[in-house]
Amino acid sequence: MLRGERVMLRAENLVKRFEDKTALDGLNTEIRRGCIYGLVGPNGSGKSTLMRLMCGVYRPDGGRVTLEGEDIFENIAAKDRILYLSDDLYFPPKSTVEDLASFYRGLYSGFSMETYHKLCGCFPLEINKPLSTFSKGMRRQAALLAALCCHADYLLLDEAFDGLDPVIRLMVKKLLAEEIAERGTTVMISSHNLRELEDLCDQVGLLSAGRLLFEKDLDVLKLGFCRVQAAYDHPVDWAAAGLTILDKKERGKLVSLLVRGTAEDTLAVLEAQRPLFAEALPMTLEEVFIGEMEAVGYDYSNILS
Amino acid sequence: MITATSSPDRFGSLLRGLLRKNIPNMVYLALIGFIGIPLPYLLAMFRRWEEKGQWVYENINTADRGGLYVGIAVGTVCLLWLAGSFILALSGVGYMHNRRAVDLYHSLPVTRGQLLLGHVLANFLTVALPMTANTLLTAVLAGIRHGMTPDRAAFRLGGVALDLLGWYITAFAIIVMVYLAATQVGSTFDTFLFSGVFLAALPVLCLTHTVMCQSYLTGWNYDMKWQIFCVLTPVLTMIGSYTTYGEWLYAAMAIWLAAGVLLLWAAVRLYTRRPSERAESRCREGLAAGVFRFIATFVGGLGFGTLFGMISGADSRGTLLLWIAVFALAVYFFVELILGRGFKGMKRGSVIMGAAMAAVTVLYAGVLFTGGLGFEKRVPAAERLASVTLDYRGRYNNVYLNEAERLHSYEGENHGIYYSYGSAQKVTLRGPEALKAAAALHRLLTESDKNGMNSGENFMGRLELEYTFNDGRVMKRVYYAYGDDTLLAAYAALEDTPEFQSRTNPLYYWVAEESPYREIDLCDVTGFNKTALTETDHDTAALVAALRLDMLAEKAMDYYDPERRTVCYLYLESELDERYSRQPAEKDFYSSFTVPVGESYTHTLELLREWGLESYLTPAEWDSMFVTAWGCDVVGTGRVILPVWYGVETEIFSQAAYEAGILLSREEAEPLLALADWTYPNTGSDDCLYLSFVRTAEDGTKTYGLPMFLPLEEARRQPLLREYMAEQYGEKLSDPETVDAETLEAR
Repeated sequence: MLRGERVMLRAENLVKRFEDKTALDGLNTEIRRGCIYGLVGPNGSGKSTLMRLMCGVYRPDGGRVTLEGEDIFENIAAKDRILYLSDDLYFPPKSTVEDLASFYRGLYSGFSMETYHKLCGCFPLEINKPLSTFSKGMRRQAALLAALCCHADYLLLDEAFDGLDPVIRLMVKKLLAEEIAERGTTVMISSHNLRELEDLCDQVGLLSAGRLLFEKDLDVLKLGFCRVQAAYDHPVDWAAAGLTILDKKERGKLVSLLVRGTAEDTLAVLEAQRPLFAEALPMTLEEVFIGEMEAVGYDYSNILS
Repeated sequence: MITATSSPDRFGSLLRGLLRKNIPNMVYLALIGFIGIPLPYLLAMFRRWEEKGQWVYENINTADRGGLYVGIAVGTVCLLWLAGSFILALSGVGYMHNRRAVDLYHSLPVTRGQLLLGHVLANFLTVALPMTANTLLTAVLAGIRHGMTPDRAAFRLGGVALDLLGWYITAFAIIVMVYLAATQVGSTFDTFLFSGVFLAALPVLCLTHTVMCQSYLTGWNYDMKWQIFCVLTPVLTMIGSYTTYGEWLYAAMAIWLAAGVLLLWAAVRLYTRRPSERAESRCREGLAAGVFRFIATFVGGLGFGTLFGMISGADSRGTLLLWIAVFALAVYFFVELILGRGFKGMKRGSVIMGAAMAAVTVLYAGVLFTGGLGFEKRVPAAERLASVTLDYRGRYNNVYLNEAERLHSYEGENHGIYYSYGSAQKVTLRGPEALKAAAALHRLLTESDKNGMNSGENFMGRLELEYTFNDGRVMKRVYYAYGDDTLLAAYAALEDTPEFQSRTNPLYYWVAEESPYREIDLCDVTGFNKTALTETDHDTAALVAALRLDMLAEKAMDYYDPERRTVCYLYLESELDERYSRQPAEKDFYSSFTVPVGESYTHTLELLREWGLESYLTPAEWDSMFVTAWGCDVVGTGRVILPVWYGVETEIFSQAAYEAGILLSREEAEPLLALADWTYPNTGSDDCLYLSFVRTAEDGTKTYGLPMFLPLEEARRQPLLREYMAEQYGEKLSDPETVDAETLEAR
């Protein structure tokens, strides 16, 4: 947690079991207001379960999920401030976009017709056509449209971009950013695809086997690692170079390194070895995760899809 | 286009949304309901027929208390309310069993209680609105019809309202029970199974228990009253109310309203605790699954076990228990298969549970098979009894004692009001002598293993006893009595007690001044020679007095003696029948009745001879005899059956004329008569041949008279009857085979 920021949504020692399987095993997390929290993890790691607990669909088997200190389960006031979109969407039978908006309008106190009209212009949807005739991506759009109209303080979006084309995906990201900027909305997005969250999240948490392996601000995360490449016409003893190398790829004279530390410090070390050239490369979130997970000795192969 | 701003009325919004979704269902119900309810009434409204040269509107016959449901409408109403409620509720709970829907609905800012109540209310209104609309439309039609034919149309708004209220409660209770079941399971199929079990559990268990006790527990007599049966499930309440009117419906409605509210409260509590992840899961665990398993194991084990035992001819109750155990286990594992969608994942505890449930089932059957923990042998001591009521009126069983309290009025000719009465079928005894005699008879019945089994020879009729103890407790028993002269003597001892006589003998309290018998009919034993003795010609009071003395003097064993010979029949025609058919009776009264005058009736016979009626005391001329296997003009009185005769004004209706039989000449019949009896043991089945006297007029017309009785074993020995016996009975001893119409016509 960043110092001075107020924690609103909190999970404490959260446990959820499904018969013999423990989906969440003493999970602790705090989500601060106004950020986009990316929840990543392999399939079956407990992402959806955590979200369902946070919006009151599930009742915890142990621990608590609270919003400003109050339990969320069966708490109407708390649930009025949280909107959850499942990864597998459901709509009331035979409903249209307009019906869906009407449905949410009757239930969420923050629902804005103004926003609805505005978003109807953004999303290319026929609002009077049954949702059952929509494609998967269009249904996702309709759900996002209705969700954004509710002006909930917390948006929990499970695999939010699943099925969206790149243009709509970009637009949704923009709309989410606007929501945060204008209303201080907190967004929690889960995905098993790191690349999808890379340019969106402020904070990420990695969930594995029902436990949060780590959660950090993305900036902090990226500052801890750097990728550099350099070319040498002589052999270099990297072990003695004084770098904490997490990944090394050599191709002829060119060597690419993933190193723990800042780019400036690392480049200084490389320059000391007299390279033909040396430069720092932009890092992907994926590479950052590799570094972090290697640090905790985790097999990350199944989340780099 | 949406124009309103956000509404804080979440429940209302939810309900409106659900109702909107249900509009097509309402339309379907309204349409089917219209075809089934107002349309038949509309068609009946204008139906006319000709009466005295005038076209008049036909009376509309309805089956409900409101007077609206014509013909099939009652069926349609029952079907639509019941099936509509059940099916729509099943459809309504579907959201609980769909993980995607659960994600949506359970994340919304409404409590689960609101969610469930909203769905229940939406389902209820979906059924109630179209059905109410159709009922009210029919009421409007009935109102119009009433204006058209004020003297014929009859409908009652109170009845309509009561019907609607009853159906509202029924629909509400059914919907709530479906939702209650749904909270415990993970699929609509399981909801269907569980709610079906919840709805049927009590009647099925009661029925199983009743059938088992009546089949295997000698003396069991706790007949389930249909009304009580109808109260055990909301499904039967209103159906029962159409077949049996009465105030029980108010109690049933109150019970199901209260139960519905209670179950709704339970459903809300359970739904709040229900794990969302139960959606789409199989339902093996939980209380409801346990109840389901037990009911299936218990009912299935007993039902299939006993059925298979009977089919396979299980000759001992031990074998029957074995089959019950086998089928209880089979049914249990079949239920496991259904609930778990296979045996995969079945736990060891489940096997133990199955064994335990089968053991309980076997234990239950074992208790019944071994006398119901002393139930079968229990006979109360007479000194602890306040009274005993028997459904046995002895030799006066054929004399109707009309009960003033059981008065019914009806509209007869010229719109006059007439009255009819229920007759006493039972006799209640309170004196120590009668109580002792009843207990002695009961003890004899408990001592034989045969009593209580509805089969076999020497059947002496069904006997129901209801004891009331001094402390107010009640004990009931019923027996199918089989026995010999010892048992007959016990019956006779009971009948001969003065108290029994006083309760059954129509002349016991007779006094000449109040005699209602102004005319007495007399006929000989053939039924051909008959006359009326009226007050103006004869001192009928003296004849009744003589008859009373003779009847009181004749002991029951003498009456039941096969050697007892009937000399003539006297029919005592009571004026009270006519009088109390036009005005309500102030007290109980006996109807007219026939007395078979025996040779021991010396006072009576002497008086008849004195009056020169000797010719009626010997059989009249007859020329042939009709032999048939079917009872005709007979009546059961106590332990015997005898010919029945209803006075000179009533023709002897000889069923013989309409049945297959053979006609014998007098010469052929005389030897048979020597073997025949005037009365016959009352076994409840036709195990004798009926020999009806026949007289042929000069023009060949045959007149049938009264019958005598030829035991089957005697009949089988007669070469003359061999062919007929073979045709009627085949290899069987009793129960003649029915003759089809074609064969009869050919004859």
